[in-house]
This record gives sequence, structure tokens and C-alpha cells, in this order.
Amino acid sequence: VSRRILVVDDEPDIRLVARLALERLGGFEVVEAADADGAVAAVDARPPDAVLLDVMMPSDDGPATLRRLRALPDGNDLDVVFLTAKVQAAEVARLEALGVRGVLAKPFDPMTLATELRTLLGWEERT
Amino acid sequence: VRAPVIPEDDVERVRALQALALLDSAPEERFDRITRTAARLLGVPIALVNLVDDRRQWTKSAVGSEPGTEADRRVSFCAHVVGDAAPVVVPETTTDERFHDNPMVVEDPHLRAYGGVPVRGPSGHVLGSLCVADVAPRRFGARELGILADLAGWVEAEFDRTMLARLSWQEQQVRERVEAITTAVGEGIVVFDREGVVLTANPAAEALARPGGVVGRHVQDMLADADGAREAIEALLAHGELDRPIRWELDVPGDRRALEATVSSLPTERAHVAVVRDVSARRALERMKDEFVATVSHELRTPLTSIKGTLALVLGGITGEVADETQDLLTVAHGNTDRLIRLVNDVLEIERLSSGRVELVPEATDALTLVGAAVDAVLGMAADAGVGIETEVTPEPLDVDPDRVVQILTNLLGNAVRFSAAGSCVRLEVDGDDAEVRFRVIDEGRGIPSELHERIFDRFAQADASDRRDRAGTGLGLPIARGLAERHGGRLVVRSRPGEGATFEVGLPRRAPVAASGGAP
Repeated sequence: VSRRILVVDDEPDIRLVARLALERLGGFEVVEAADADGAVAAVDARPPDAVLLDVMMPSDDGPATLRRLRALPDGNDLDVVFLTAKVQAAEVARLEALGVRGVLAKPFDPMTLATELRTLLGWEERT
Repeated sequence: VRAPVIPEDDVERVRALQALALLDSAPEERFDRITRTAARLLGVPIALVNLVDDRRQWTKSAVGSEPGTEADRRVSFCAHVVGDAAPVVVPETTTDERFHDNPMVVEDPHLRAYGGVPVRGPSGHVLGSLCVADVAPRRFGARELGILADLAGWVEAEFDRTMLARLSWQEQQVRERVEAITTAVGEGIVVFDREGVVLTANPAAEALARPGGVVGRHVQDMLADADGAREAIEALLAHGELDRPIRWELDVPGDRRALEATVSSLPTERAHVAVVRDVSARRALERMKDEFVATVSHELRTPLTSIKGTLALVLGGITGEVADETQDLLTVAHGNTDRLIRLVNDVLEIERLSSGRVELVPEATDALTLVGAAVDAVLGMAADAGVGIETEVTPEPLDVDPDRVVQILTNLLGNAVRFSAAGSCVRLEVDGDDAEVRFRVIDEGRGIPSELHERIFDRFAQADASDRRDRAGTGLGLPIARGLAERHGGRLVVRSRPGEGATFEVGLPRRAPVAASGGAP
């Protein structure tokens, strides 16, 4: 059974690129959400193995969405990786301090996204 | 006629006379009563106060003549008093070689006797003469000259009064002018004494300060809630006199204002003057610009992320085999997307540097580590260009922001590779002393003419704009590298001669300055 990853980003184009990269190159199953409400609903319906969460989103941004996900039952056990265009050391440190597994820079390279995600989450390479 | 002597300091003397503004003025009783007294005491028909300028004698007050009368200086009796700076006595004009053919002797009023004493102005120059004359010959003895000298003193006292009145009028003019100027300017002008008590303030300063007035209050009270103001003012008051103006930037959080003040000392008054400007509007504009740049770069980056990702997936064969030509074209698109992303990142970075918002995260590291990371980052492009990279590094511990220093070195190495011919080599050397560690990136390229040594650190400047090999550069690498070096309290310089390659040297203090971000300088 392949792992399920929830991709949360307000940009459908970026969700498409991430989906293709994760499905085709990583062999993951991908669920998409366009905002915090969608993410909460998706996690509520069936918690994924990991969440790839965009930081800059209208209304609830990445950290606010994270707080809402953590408030869900079993939300504390969710493995979350942030995706951010702000890669300044101070900003990355601020995001890491929120209790996530890692922070990935945007624009990401879709050819290596699955591998980078695996490394951050400590998942074994699929054979 | 023997012409009167012209004193050596005649120019200054005439200037002193003109400063009194008595020439060509209306008759005044205060002088007329002196000439009347002279005529009465000496029993003469003529008594005059004559002023002598550069070309004429002019009569200020007269008994037996008309005030306002002029005579040529060359035939003026009183000009001799001025020329000699001493009394002149002529008992009989018709036999005196100086005056026997003088028009005033041979014609009306046919003067036969003359006695004049100098009258001096406040500056000490002889401005004219108090004189008496008669139409019959007569002697003026010691008694008469004594009376004239006393009355001359009276004339001089009147001159002094004239001068004082003029000075006080001029001072009033200056004061009114200064007042009008300080009222007109938009900047607040506050004068405060060495204890910090405000002596004067213009309306703009009153408007800038809170209600309750400014004069008589302590500058400290007025700026009580401005960030950093207390320390700055204490330092100033402790310092006494300033040898050059200092600039304060004060943020007043209470009413969200930003003030900029230039403080100078007024040495003659044992006081300081502060010129205060409200820069809130400018700050707001800067903030808007910052937000604009951040928003634009985010808005640009989002579609770029999609384009780059899409191209990478297609190029990576996710959607199936790609024909060679299509592959080539998509590679061009992909490479240019990278370039656009770099440009957006660099513009954002240079904007952060110029607005002082780059925060350093210094940590203990070593030159070896930094050089290793920088070389790794450019190995790929160096191999593509057929350029070798050599390093000569000794372990040099230093406290810097490692990401930022690697960024500097990567920029310099990338530049060096791009300007190197295939088969040549780029060297990276490191050495250090107690104070700093120096990184040198040395290439064997065609060098940079000296007139461009500073210009290449300008934004979007390139030594040769037509250089086709520099397509990968954004034109911001060097200004960013220099900005980051300076943020560390260091420097970045270039040494190069055309045809002999270039050496870029970064000098970084062993310790980056702590908490160097933002705030008052």
C-alpha cells in the first residue's frame, strides 16, 4: 500500500506539479486541498501519512493551517513539511520551531521532490 | 590751491562714514545746536559740521550757510583737517599758499579766516570737521581751539548715537529675517541649552511636539517615548560642545511617527540647535516599497514555480519520451526560468540589503567548511565551462553567518568561472590575521580596467555589457556580495589589470558584529 500525502497549496498549477512529481516519481498517493478548510476536511476524513503545506496562502496561511490541523483528533501525530518561498535562515528557523519535520524551498525541483520528502520524513526508499 | 592729503586708509574711512548713513540726510536739531553753540561761543558768523567722503565735502549742519551744501574735496578746507587728522587754523586766507586762490576765498563767501578740528567716527576714522570761519581775518588761539575740540567731542557723541541706533535697527532687521525664515521652514528648529532646557522653538517645532508647548521644557520630556532618544540626549549633554553635527533617527511608537534630527552646537551661546523633520511619510513610502517588492516577487515566483516544475517534469520524461529538438527547446525554456527565478531572488535580496533588513545568523565556523560548500556549489558549472578550480586554504576559525559567506564566495567563484576561458583555472586562497580572514578569488580572465573597479559593484553593471558568456549572471551578484560582506563589518575589493585576470578579495572580521540590524545609527 503506497503512502498518502496531502498537498495543501492555493495554486492549482503547483498542486498539479507536486501531484505528478509525487505520484510518478515517488509512487505516493496524493490528496489535494486548496486551503485550510480543505486540509482540515481531508485530514478529518482520513489522516494522510504526511502533509506538504504551503506557507503563503490567503486567509489561513501555513502556520495557521498547521494550528487547525494540530487541533484535530490525532492532529499532533501528523507529519508536516512546509513549502515556502521565503528561504532566509531566520524565516526557516521560525517555521522549524513550529514543530514540523522540515521546510522545503519553493520553487522546488519536481524531479527530486519525492526524494527530499522521503529524507525529511525518514522514510525508506521504495524498492 | 594745494590739494588736501588723502589719508592712506581713505577707503576704510569713507566706508565708516557711509555706515553712519548721515551723508545727504535731512538737517537735525541735535547737530544744529552744536554749530549754534560754536558760533555763539567763538563769536563767528559761520560754523559748520562738514563730512568728507571720497570726492566732496558735505555740510550736515550750518550757521551762516546752508545744510546740504557740497564742495569739491580738492578745494575743501575741512578736507585738510581730514588729510592731516589734526586741527587746521588759517588766520588769513589770502596770504596762505594753500587757500589764497580757493574759490571760497576769491568768490562768495570770500572767507578770510578758518579754524577746524577733526571729528572722528566710532571706528576712530576722521570723518569730517567741526569748523568755524569768518569773512574778516582773525586768530583762533588755544582757547578757541579748546572750545572747538570740546564741541567736536559732542559731535562725536552724536555720531556714536547714530551708530548705535543703526546697529540696533540692523539687529532688529536680522532678527526679523531669522524669525521669518524659521517661521517659514517646515523643519522644526529647537534651541536648547547645555542642560537640555529649550530656549526657543519655531512654530514647526511646536507643531511636532505634543500639546503643552516646547519652550522652557526639557528636551528629554518631549522625546520621552522615542526609541533611543534618552541615551542619545544624555550622551550629547554629557559631551558638551559638538565639533560636528550629529544625526538622530527617532521612532516615536506612541503616535507611530518617525523623526529625523540634526543637532549642532552654537558655540557662542553655549547651546545646541536641533533641526527636526517628520519623516513618517518617507518611512511609510519605504515600507510600501518593501511590501511591494515582496509581493511582486512572490507573485512572480508562484507562476515561475509552476513553469519550472512543469518543464522539469516533461524534460524528466514523466509524460513519455521527448523528441530531441523538443528536448533542446524545453531546456532553453527551463534554463531561462531558472535565470528569472535567480533574478527575482537577487532583486529581493538587494532590496533587503539596501533597506538593512538582512539579518545575520552568525555561528562559529571555519574557512575550510565555507570554502568547501562554495566550491561544491560551482563545481558543476565550472566543469561545464572546462574551468578548473584550485583552493589553498588553511583552517581559519571565524564567527560569521555561514550561509551568507558561502553566498558571497559562490557569487565570486561563479563570476570568475564565467569570465574564464576553457582550460584556465580559478584559484581560491584564504589567509588571516588576528583581526580578519581574507578570501581571494583569482581568475585568469581578461581582467577589468581600473575605471570600472567601482562600477562593477553597481546594480546591473557589467564590465562588458556585450559579453555573451555572462548570460547566466543577473548583474546583481557583486553588489549583493559586497552588501553581505559589509553587513558582516567586512569589505569586498577588486584588484585587476586588463589582460592579467582579476582578484576579488573579501575581508571578514573574525567576529561578525552582533545585533547590527536596523535601529538608530
